[in-house]
Amino acid sequence: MKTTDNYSLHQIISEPSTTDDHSVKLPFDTAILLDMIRSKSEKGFHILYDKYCGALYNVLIKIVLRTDVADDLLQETFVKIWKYIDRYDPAKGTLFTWMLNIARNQAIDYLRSHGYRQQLYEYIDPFLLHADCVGTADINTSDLEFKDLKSKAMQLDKKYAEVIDMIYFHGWTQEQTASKLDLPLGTVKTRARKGVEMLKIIYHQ
Amino acid sequence: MRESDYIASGILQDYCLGLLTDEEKKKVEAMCHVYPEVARELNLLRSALEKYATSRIEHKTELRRAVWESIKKLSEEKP
Repeated sequence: MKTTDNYSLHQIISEPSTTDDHSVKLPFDTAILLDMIRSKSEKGFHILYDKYCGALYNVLIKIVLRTDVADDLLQETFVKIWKYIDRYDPAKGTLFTWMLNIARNQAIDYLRSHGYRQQLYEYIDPFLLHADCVGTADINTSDLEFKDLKSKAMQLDKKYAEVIDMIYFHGWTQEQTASKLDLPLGTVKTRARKGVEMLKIIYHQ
Repeated sequence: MRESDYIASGILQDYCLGLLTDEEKKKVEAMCHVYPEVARELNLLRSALEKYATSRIEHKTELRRAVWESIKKLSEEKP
């Protein structure tokens, strides 16, 4: 039996379309990845993280609506995946589905334990609240969607992106952002609003 | 106040970015309950921001490090 370390990172995570050789194209091999996680390999962790952090983060942030909370929950989700990987049964569904359910449950538990008002649930994408429906998402679709999200993010003008990143993504105040970027506070406030507006156009056009 | 004026005021963007106080947030949520158009706009803005944040997650290298550190701690507790 080949040991997992014989596979290069590139081989495992590369997309078929990016290889130039025209021989048989190897799909991403979940079985190899699973072996690596079960043997608690650090390389396995990085492959898992690269592959799924976007999709899992998306589920978390949709439910909790805050990046700082989603960051904490992403951490807890990966810890749970690591801890309970032996409970994952491939016969019952894909690894991706299993992980999505862990993320979703973490997020819903968070809301409940923090006594969120019921009305918050109204804003949550209903499909997220039903485990069965999450299972219909398959990994390739998710990969593709993630790539699409990334290419769209590139369309946001840098002057808006830096402000949005600092405020929303890294949790800085508008005052800190203004001081760091050496801009008037009013400019930061305007760019933050304009940036969100631009993102709406980019992602919903 | 007309719905379109409220939407154009920029308060919904501030809400999504987490810049409002609890009091201000409650007012926005109350507006959403009364005016479906406001709720719709808020959802569009919010979901666009979520998509953007998701696409940027790989840039949080400190988060990746923190996740790996917690995992390592886990295996030290239960060898």
